[in-house]
Amino acid sequence: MATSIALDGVGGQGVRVIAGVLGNLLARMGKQVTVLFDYDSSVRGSMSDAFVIFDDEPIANPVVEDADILLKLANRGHLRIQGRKVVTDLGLASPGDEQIPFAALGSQHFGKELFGNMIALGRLLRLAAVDYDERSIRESLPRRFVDENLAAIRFGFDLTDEEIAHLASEAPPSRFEMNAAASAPAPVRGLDAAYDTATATPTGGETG
Amino acid sequence: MRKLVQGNEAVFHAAVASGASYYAGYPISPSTEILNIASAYAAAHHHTFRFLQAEDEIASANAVIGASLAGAKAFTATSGPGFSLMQEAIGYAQKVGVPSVFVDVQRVGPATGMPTMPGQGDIMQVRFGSSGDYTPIAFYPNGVEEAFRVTVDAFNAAEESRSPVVLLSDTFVAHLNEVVDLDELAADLRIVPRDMPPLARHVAGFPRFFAGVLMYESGPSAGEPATADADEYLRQYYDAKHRHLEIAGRYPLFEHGWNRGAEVLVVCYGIVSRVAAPLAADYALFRPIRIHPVLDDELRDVAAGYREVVIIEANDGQYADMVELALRREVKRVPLMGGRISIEAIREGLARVLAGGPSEPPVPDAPTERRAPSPLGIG
Repeated sequence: MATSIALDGVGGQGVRVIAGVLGNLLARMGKQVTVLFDYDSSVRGSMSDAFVIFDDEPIANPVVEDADILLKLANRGHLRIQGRKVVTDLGLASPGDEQIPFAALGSQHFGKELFGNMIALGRLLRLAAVDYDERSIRESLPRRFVDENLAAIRFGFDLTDEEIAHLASEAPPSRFEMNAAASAPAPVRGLDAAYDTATATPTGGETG
Repeated sequence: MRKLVQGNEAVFHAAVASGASYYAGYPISPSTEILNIASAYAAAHHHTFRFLQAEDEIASANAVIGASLAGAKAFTATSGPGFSLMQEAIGYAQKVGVPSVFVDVQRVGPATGMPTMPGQGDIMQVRFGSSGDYTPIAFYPNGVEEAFRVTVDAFNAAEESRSPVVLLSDTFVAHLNEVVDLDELAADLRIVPRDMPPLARHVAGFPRFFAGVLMYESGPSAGEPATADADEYLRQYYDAKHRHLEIAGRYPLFEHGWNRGAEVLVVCYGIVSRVAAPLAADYALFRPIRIHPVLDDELRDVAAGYREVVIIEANDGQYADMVELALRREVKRVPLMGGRISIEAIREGLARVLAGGPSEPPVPDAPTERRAPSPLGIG
């Protein structure tokens, strides 16, 4: 029975790392695996998705449109991907989705928001019922921060439903909500600015 | 060891296993991993493998030709826009008879188009992209293991036919990771060795001609221009054509599968054939792996038993035109445009054309909502 996982994020968040580690781990465990990346042209900040499927049989179609598990770390990706079980970082959930403040937990427990992606990987492993062994996952991780990554994965794997409900209820404002204003493109250099007289700022001195 | 391997990675390792010792290229999504891997490999194996990142695709293609004439099995990888720039060199390699492999990882064009989205728009560019008449050989795998095997076939066919052979791929085949054992794949391969002497070495009885212009290659005027002699043109043209067809005939690679007893035959190739796999219960599949020369006889034999033939491809009917020509029979077309290679689009298209509708999908209205701008612009 194949399990399909879709990851939806933006460039720079680590979607490729999560999918790569997950894929390598499953391959080491003797599974048939496909990992496929789908991304937009911008290097950072635009859609970056990954599809992971694993099975005991060879996998025919590697493109996931209807995922068993959908992990949403941002909201720029394929509107067309459906997930039977949806896990999101804060501020991205629709009713019924599971919401976990991955980035905040990464910062709080491991000193960096980025470790949130390994916590998310741990949660994915739990939801996909992947009974990983520590050696296989150690060999699948990037060489830097192996111990921290491993601890973060275990933290995500061990989260209970009660803890998740509790985290969601007392979570601080989503970093996505806070970041939305802060990271909005400056109108001066934005591509759109040239066409949007309402927000355009004079660009004198920058011609040529 | 069994491990996750990317399509592009498999192509590179298969090239090395085939005896390739030279890579020249210019980076372009979604082929760039091949260049990156070639660069690292050359740094580690400098005595057996050389690498050049040239200033553009024109220089890369010509460097590959030069390396091949100098005795190396040589290759490059690019995508549609780069492949366009290589067309002049490919025509030259066809004319002069240069064994070489050109990997074209297709994305959505024309021009820069949608650089990271999968497309299949270069089927006709492979066939007719350079000037004049020639008979290209091209293969197109649909997965990682097959990418390895078919790359080896491409190198062998290049040596046997003494021509630039094209290995087609697409964004998704190139970026797909699957579990394979590269060592096992590389064991017991049939490798056709280079038997053409390097250009710099004179071999009695084996004169070499490498001008793009038509010259007498034998007889009392050997080495003189034959630029107004149709007879000499015919000799050389048909000699190359017959050779290429004969060699291509050794690689009649295709798959006839899914539900062979169904009424409708679906023809698709590359990643589309993987994404369409959920149709397996209700349709028969013909999947060409050798794209050029078109598998006319095989297509005719297989298609004869089916009420309808539907070609599903990520372009506006390029292979469908050739199938129609081969079968002398009208076929239906499901074009998957704009990078939307999805089972949803395939099912919708099949239902539309099998109900007698047009191949063109319903086109959505112009957008009315502003999309969030990309934070760093278009990279």
